Amino acid sequence: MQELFIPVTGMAPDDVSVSAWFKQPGDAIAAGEVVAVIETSKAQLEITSESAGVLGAHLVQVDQEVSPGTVIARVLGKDEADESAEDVPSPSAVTGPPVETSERAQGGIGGIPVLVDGAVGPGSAAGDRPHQLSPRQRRLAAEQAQARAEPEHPALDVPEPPVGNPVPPPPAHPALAAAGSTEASPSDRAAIRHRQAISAAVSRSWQEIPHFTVTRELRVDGLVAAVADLRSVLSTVTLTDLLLRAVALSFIEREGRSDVDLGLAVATERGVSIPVVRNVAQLDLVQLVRARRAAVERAKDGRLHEDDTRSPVTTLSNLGAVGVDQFTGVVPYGQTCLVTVGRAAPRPVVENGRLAVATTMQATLNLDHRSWDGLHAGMLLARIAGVIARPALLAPLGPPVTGVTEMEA
Amino acid sequence: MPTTNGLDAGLVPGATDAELYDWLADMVLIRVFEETADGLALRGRIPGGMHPAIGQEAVAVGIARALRADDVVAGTHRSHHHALAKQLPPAAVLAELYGKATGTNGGRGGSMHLADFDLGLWGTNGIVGAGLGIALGAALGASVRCTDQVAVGLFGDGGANTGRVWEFVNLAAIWRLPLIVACENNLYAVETASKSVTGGNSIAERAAAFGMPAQQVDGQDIVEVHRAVRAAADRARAGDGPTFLEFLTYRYKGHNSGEVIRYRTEDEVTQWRTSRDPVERFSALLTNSGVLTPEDLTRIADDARAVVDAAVAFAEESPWPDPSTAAENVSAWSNRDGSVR
Repeated sequence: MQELFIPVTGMAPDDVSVSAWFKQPGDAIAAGEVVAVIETSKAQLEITSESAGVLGAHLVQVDQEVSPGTVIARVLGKDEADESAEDVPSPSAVTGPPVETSERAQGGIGGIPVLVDGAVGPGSAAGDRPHQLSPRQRRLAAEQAQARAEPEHPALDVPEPPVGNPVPPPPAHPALAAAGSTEASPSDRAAIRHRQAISAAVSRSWQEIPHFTVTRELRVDGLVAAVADLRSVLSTVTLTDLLLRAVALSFIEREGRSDVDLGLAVATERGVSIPVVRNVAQLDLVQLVRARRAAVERAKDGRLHEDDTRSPVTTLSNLGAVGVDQFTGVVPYGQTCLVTVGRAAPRPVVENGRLAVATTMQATLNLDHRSWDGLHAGMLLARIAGVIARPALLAPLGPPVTGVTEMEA
Repeated sequence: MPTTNGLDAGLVPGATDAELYDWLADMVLIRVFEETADGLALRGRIPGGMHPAIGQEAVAVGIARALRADDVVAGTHRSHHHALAKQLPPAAVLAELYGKATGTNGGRGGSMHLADFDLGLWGTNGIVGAGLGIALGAALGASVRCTDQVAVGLFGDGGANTGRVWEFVNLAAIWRLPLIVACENNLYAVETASKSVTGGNSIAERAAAFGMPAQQVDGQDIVEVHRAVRAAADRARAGDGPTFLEFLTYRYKGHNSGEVIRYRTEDEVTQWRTSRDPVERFSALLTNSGVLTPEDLTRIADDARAVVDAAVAFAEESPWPDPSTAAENVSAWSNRDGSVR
């Protein structure tokens, strides 16, 4: 039997909660597999199992605050009974000091010799650690460390943010106003935590990322018509689906690969959330609609999926549904750009020297100037315009489209 | 050069095979102790956490083994390896980490305040660069009392950027004290890459400006560490004053147990671990030169495991300090019963 526990990651007491269980009681676990994701005050960490087995009961529920050191589940070996259910800790028991709540660490003493590695992220060989940074944070950490290793490019050096929560969340927000109340319900607390997470993330982005924006008006007559046509085949398809695909196709050349993941900004009751739709360019339309709907549902339910810890190439944010013509946004931390689009509406255009009416949409690229120059942004917008002008590219119902890279910018 | 005697082979001048066995045993003990303690810290067993020294074993053992038992060492915030190298009992050290009454300091000091004056460990402490000042005092005492003891003051690359360190270096130089100024440069001051905040070519080069011999030493090679410290100790005992040694070393873990690391790459850690590991290098040296057999290595590892397992059991089962003694040792005037005069 192996105990999965919340690691002590700092020198001071910390509030930690489980943000998602990736495995359910009774699920088979492979060695090294991620079982849960926890949220500390400093980072989101994956809890992995060192050994293979079957997962016992969840001893801690999602969003329940626990002390570092607390056992959250056990991975059972062959023929081991699950006695976990008996010691599901009461909420009051798990908020005490860590020394009181953690059990005697038998698993880490005689049983596993010289194995537990306290170093999160960089450390010994993979698999030696009970916990690690989420993939997105690992990539960020690697990039930051790399940037530091090059003193000849001091401009690229990303300063370490202050320890802890550097930016107090704006107290005016209603979700946060409840933070001071001891009466907050679990869902209120989840909303407060979500708002605080947004607050920390956008503050960090805004502090560190030199933002600039490039906008282009796109002709979307063909796109809008295509959505209408496709709805006769698949009633759930939306303009956002085709926009996701258009953005994904437009990134293929820049990324040098076709398995492009995209974030999708979704408004939820708790605040905006960015689930990740994987491999957008390679999905056919039915798969894409299904994946987009699943992502939106995850966001609305506040659930987290393994996919959502990935680092997408960009994120799409569409405020067209509420009548916005054009807007800019904050680049999500860990990404280098954000695509913001307004509504598709009939607008005056000049065609062959004459005034005409066409359906257009204002698309804005919000960019990190450390990674992008204006020219690159303009070229990418031109590519999006070109893809959108070819709706046939946007609705594959079969094998993926090839040859996109030959298209003119 | 087939030989079973490291002394004859010139492996380490002045050290017998039995001593070389003990050096390696000390390093392995530190490795197993620290990895185990680190795991316990992750589980919340060690109040306040700890700073693991895994990767820096050769520095501590090389220093301690080049000194006499009555020589003085003053450590840093990351000092379990110094304490164990100075032969503090592992069980008492772990009990101290736990805060138990049976700890080296009665559970009052914890991970950062290990001490045993009889064994020559004049404390470890969390004030950056302060251990050097304590060692300076020890060296001054030895000088005044003509005891021919030597003191070693340890600090890190972060400490090398504090003013007090250079005040101590200056005093040691002008008073020609029997002090070994020992910088453990493990490249990172908490989360800061020290080269990004350290002017000049090297820390040792700064020390040379104070008019004392100063050199960089490969801190992952215990033979080099021992050679440099022995030479510095000989100088000090001969009345020739202080020596500055900058040990180039590396910590495999974060600044503290469980630290979420964002400031270095996994590749860098792997490179140090695979190409310069002090335990593996010394094991290979001793087996290749015939001083140790593979069976010896197994016994060393087994012994270390047994000692550390016993230390864990001791620390777990030891009692907490009696609450009525909480006010003891707080000041020179406090009474045994906790009341204050």
